[in-house]
Amino acid sequence: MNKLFCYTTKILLITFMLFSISGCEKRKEGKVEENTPYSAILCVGSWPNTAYYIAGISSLTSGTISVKGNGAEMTGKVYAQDVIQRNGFYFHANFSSGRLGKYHVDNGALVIDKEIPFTWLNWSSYTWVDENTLIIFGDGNNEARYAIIKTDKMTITTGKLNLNPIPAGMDVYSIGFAEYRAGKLYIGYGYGSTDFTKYPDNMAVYKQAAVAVVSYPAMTVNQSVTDSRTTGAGGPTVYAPVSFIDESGDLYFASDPVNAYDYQSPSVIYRIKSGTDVIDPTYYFNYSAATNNEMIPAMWYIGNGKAIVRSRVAGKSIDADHYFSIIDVKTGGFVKRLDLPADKGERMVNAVIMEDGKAFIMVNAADKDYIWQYDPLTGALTRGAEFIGGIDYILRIEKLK
Amino acid sequence: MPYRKILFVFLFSTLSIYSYAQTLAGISGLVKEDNEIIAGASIQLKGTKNGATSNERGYYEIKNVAPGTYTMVISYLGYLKQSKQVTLKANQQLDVNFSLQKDEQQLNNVAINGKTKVQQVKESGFAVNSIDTKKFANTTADLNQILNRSTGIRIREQGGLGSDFKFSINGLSGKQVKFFIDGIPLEVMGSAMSLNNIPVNLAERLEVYKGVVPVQLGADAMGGAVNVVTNQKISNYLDASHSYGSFNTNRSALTGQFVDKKTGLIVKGSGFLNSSDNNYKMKGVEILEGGTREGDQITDLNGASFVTTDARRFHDNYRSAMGQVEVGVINKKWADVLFAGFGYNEGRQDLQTGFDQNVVYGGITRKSKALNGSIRYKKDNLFTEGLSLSLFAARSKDTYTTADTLYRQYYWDGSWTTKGYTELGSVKTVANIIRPRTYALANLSYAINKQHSLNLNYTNDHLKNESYNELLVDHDEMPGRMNKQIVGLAYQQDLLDQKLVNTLFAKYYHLGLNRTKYVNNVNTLLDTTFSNYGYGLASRYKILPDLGIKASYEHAYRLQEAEEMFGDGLNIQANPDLKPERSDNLNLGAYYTLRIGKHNFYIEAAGFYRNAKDFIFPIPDEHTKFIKNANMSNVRVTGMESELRYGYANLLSFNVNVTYQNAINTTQFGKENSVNNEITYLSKIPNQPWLFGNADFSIGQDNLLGKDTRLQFNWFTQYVNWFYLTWAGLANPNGKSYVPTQYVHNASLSYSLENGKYNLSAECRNLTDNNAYDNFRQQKPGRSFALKFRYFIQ
Repeated sequence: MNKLFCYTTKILLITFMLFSISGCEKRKEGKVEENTPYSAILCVGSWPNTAYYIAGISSLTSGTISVKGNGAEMTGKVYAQDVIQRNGFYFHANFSSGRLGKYHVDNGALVIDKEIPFTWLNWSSYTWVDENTLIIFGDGNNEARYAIIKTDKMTITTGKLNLNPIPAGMDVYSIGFAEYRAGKLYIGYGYGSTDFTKYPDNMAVYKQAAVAVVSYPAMTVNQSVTDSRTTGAGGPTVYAPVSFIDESGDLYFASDPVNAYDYQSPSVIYRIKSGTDVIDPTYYFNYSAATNNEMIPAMWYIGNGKAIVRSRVAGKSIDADHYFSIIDVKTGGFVKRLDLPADKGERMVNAVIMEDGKAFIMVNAADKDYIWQYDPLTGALTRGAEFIGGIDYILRIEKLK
Repeated sequence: MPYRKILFVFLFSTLSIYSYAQTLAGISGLVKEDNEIIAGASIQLKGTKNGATSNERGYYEIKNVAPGTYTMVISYLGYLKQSKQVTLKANQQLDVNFSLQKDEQQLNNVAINGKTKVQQVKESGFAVNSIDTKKFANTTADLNQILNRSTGIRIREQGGLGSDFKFSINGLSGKQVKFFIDGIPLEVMGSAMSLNNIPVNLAERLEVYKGVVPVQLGADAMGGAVNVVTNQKISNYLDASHSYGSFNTNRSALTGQFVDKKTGLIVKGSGFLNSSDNNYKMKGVEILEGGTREGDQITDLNGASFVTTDARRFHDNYRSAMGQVEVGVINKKWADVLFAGFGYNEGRQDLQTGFDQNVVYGGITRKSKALNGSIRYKKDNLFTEGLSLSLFAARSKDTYTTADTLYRQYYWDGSWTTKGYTELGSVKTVANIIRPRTYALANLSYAINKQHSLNLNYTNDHLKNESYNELLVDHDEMPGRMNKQIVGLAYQQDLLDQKLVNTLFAKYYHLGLNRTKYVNNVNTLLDTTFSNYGYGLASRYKILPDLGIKASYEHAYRLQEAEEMFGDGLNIQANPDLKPERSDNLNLGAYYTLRIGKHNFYIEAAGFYRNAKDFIFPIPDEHTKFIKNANMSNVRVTGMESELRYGYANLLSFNVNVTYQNAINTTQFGKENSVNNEITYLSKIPNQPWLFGNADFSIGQDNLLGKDTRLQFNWFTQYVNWFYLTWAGLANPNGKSYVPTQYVHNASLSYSLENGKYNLSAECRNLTDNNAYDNFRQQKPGRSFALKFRYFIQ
C-alpha cells in the first residue's frame, strides 16, 4: 500500500512539474517584414473564435502569403472587414463602440493613430475628395447622413443629406455608391425596411435606384435623379466598390437588387456622363440579361473602357458562387468570363488591385487561393502569389503605396 | 509436494473452514439519525478485526463472528461515537440498530475529514466533484464562486454580482452544461434562478458530474451537469443570514423547515434577496474630455477626445429575489413523501458592457419574473420490497424582457451623445420572451438484491416560446414549441463485496419541435422530430478500502432548441438543417485517503477526454445583421486534474488543486464547400484558460474566545495561467492579444458563538487588488469587503 501511495505521489509530482513547465511557456517574439507594398485582410476560425489579420504581401506575382506567425492581429482594435485603406493607413468606424479610428501596421502590430468619438452614422460608403479629405456616408435615425474627415488630424464635420423622402412602407435609407467629380458628389441610394418578420421572401421592396447630386463643400443636394428599372444603387462600398469614373470623366455604377430583397429586377450598370448630372438615358447595361441573371456585388475599372465585375450566380442567396468577368463598360457589352476557379468567398470582397495597367485578382477558390494577374492587352491570366496554410476568408487585398 | 498431500491439505482446510463457519455468528442492523438513514457509518467490534460499514440503505452486516461478548463501537463523522455491549451465541444472527446523534463540534470540519455523503458520491464510478457547502455557510459566496474553486470547472463571468457567466466543465460549456436543483432542471424554476445568485446557505451539497451524467438527471447534458442538493433532513431548522459589502452589495438568505412530528406535516421555505450597484472601478478605460455638454449629454462632439482614466461602473445595478414554499407530509402509508410547492422569482439588471469593454451601455435593462407550482411524491417499497417510485411535476411561466430604447452612445464616465440607432444597434426594442413550461419526471428504482439494481427515469419537458418586440406587436404570432422526452435506464452492480461497482446505462432522447412561419406567403407549420440513443458506463474498483480507481464513458447529446432550429422571429434566422450536438466523453481517475492519527490526507487525480462534434454556434450574417445557428465546430479536449487535501483534526485544512486542459479545434473546414483543412484545424482553442488552480487554507480553533465558540481563518488563492485571446500560432507575436496570468487572493475570518448559532464573518476578496479578467479582458471587480451575520438553529 505504501508503495502505491509512493507511486501516486510520484505521478502527482511529475504532473505538477509538467504543469509548471507548460505554465512557464513564454509568448514568442516576432520577426517583422518591413514595408510590404501590399496587404491582405483575412479572417480565420469559426465563430466565436473568428479572428481578423492584416498580412503584408511583398509580391503579387510570386511567393506565398501566410498568417502563421505573420501578420498583424486586428482583435481588440478593429474587428471587421469594412476598412478604408489609403497610403498604408486604415480607417474604420465602429458603430457599436461609437468610434472612428485611424490605424497602421508597425512592427507586426496594428497601431492606433487616433480614435475619435463618432456616433453620427452607420457607414456604408465613402469617397476621397483629396489626399486628406475622406467623406463617409450612411444612415442614422432614419436620415441620410455624412461626415467629412480630415484624415491627418482626424477632425470631422457632420451633416444631413436632403434626399428624397422615404416612401411609405420603407423606413431607412440604403446608401449605395459615392463618387466625387469636379466639385460635386454623386451618391447612390435606395430604401430599405427593418421589418424582418417578412424575411426572406416577403421583404418590402421599393423598386428604384436614385442618385443624389450634391455640391461640395456646401453639401447641399442639388437634385436626385432616379430610375425604376432596378432596386438600389449598389453598396455598401466600404466592403467593395461598385462604381468608378473613367478617363473621360464618365461615372458608372452597378446595382444588386437581390441585396435589397428584390428577386425580380436585373442587376444594371448605369452611366452619368461627364459634365451632366442625369442618368444617361441612352445607356442601360442589363448585366443580368447578358449573363443568365447574375448579380453584381462589386466592380473595378481596369482602363480603356473595360471593367472587371465580380458577379454572383442567380438566386435568392447571397452566399453563392461568384465569377469574374470582363465587360466593355463604355459600350455596355459583356466581353468574357475569366477562366478562373469559382470564387467561394463572401458577397463583399475587395478582390482587385490595379497596377501598371494590369489587374491582380484574388480568388477564394475551393482548393488553392491565388492572386491572378490579368493583362488586359493580351488577355493572359497568370497565377501569382498563393495564400497558404488554409485560409477560408480572404476579404480584401490592398495596395498600400 | 506430492499430489496426494496437496489434496489432503486442500480437503482438510475446506472442511475446517466449513465446520468453523458453522459455529460462527453474525450481527446486522440499521443505522439512522431520527428517520434519516446514515450510510457510511463504521461499526467495529472492539479488540477484533471484525467490522462493517453501513450501506446506502443504512444497513450493515458483520459476518463470521466467533461467539462471545463484544463491545460494538459505531462512529460516523459529524456524529457522536456510540458503543454497545453484545453477547453472541454460536450461530446466532443478532439484530442491533443504532440511532446516532449529531456532534455539533465536529460538523464544521466534516467535509475535510471523513466519509460523508460527499465522499460517497466521490467514490461512485462517475467523475464527480461533490462539494459540501457547510464550510462556506458563513461566507458571502454564491454557488458559482464555490464551484469555481473545484477541479475542472471554469466559470467566466462578465462582471460583478448577477452578471452573465459561462460555466465550463472540462472544456465544454454553454448549453452543454445543465443545472439542477434536487434533480429538477433549474430553468423550470425561472430565469432569475441562477448559480450566480443562489446564496450558499440554500444548498447543502453541490454535485458536478463531468461528461458522464447519471440517468436520474434526465437531461441532454452533453458536457456535464451540476446538481444543487438542498437540506433533506426531516428536522426543524432555520438558517437566516444577511451580508453587506462593497459596491452597496446586500445579500439576504433564509431557509427553514418546520416539522410536526405528530401529524407528519412539514413546511419548508426558502428565499433570497440580492442587490448590488456593482459600481466597481474600471482601470484604464477611455472617457471623453471636452465637447459641449448639457448635464450628462455631450451635445456637440467637436473638441471632444478620448482620455484614459479610471472610472466607476455606472449602469450595472442588479437585484434578484426568490421565494419558494413547500408543504407536505412524510411517512404515510401511501406516501413516504408528498409535497406541493409554489414559488416566485424575479430579477432586474442593468447592462453595462457589450462584447468587449469598449462597448459601453447606459440604458439597456433586463428583467425577468417567473411563477412556478410543483408537486412531488415518493414511495419506497411500493408493492414489493426494494421498489421505489418518485414523481415530480411542475408548471411554470417565465417572462424575460430586454429593453433597448435609447438612441445613445454612452462613455465610461456616464456621459452620452445621441446616435443614429439604439445602443444595441437596432430599432427601439422591448423584447419579450415568454416561456410557459410543463415539466414532469418519473423515476422508478428497483433493488433486485444486494448486488443488482435497476433505475428507470423518464422526463417530459414541454415548452412554448413566444418572443416579440412589444413596441411593434403585442404577441408572437408564430411561437415555437418544444417537447423533449428523455428515457434513461441504468443497471447497477455491486460486486466483490462492494469493491466493484458498475453502472451501465442507456438514454433515449426524443425531441419534437415546431413553429409556424410564413413560407411563400403561406402560414406554414414547420414540424420536426428527432430521436437519438445515448449510452454509457461508470465503474469503480476499490483496490483498498481507501484507494479506488474509476472509469466512465458516455456517448452524449445536446438537443437543438426551437429558436436554434426555427429562429426567434427577432434576431435569429431559421436553420432547418440543424443537428444535435454530440460528444464522446471519457474519464479515468483514482483517489486515495490516508489517515494517520489526526492527520488526514486525500488525493485524487483524473484524466479526461471529450470529442465533441457539431457544436451549434450562432453565425452572424453580414447581409441581414441577423444570426443563424449552424453545426459549425468540432472540439477535442484532453486534460487532467488533480486535488490534494490535508487536514489535521478540527484545526487546519489545506487544499490545492490544478487543472490542465488542451482543447483542440477539430473543425476541418471553415466553410461548407472547402476542400482544404483550415489553418486553425488542430490548433488550440483561443480565449479559454487551459491551466488553472486553486489553493485553500483554513485554520480554526474551538473555545478560543469562550465556551462553544469557534474562530476560523481562511485564505484562498485562485490562479489562471495566461492565455491568448486569438489563435496561438497565428499573426506576428508582437501584436497578439492575451489575458495575462492572474492571481486572486481572498481571505475571511469568522467567529461563531453558541455552537454555530450566531456567526459573524468578515471577508476580503481580491485582497491585493490585482487585475482580474475572464472574457476578452473585461475587467472584474477589484478589492472588495463584506460582512456577514448568520443565525442558525436546528
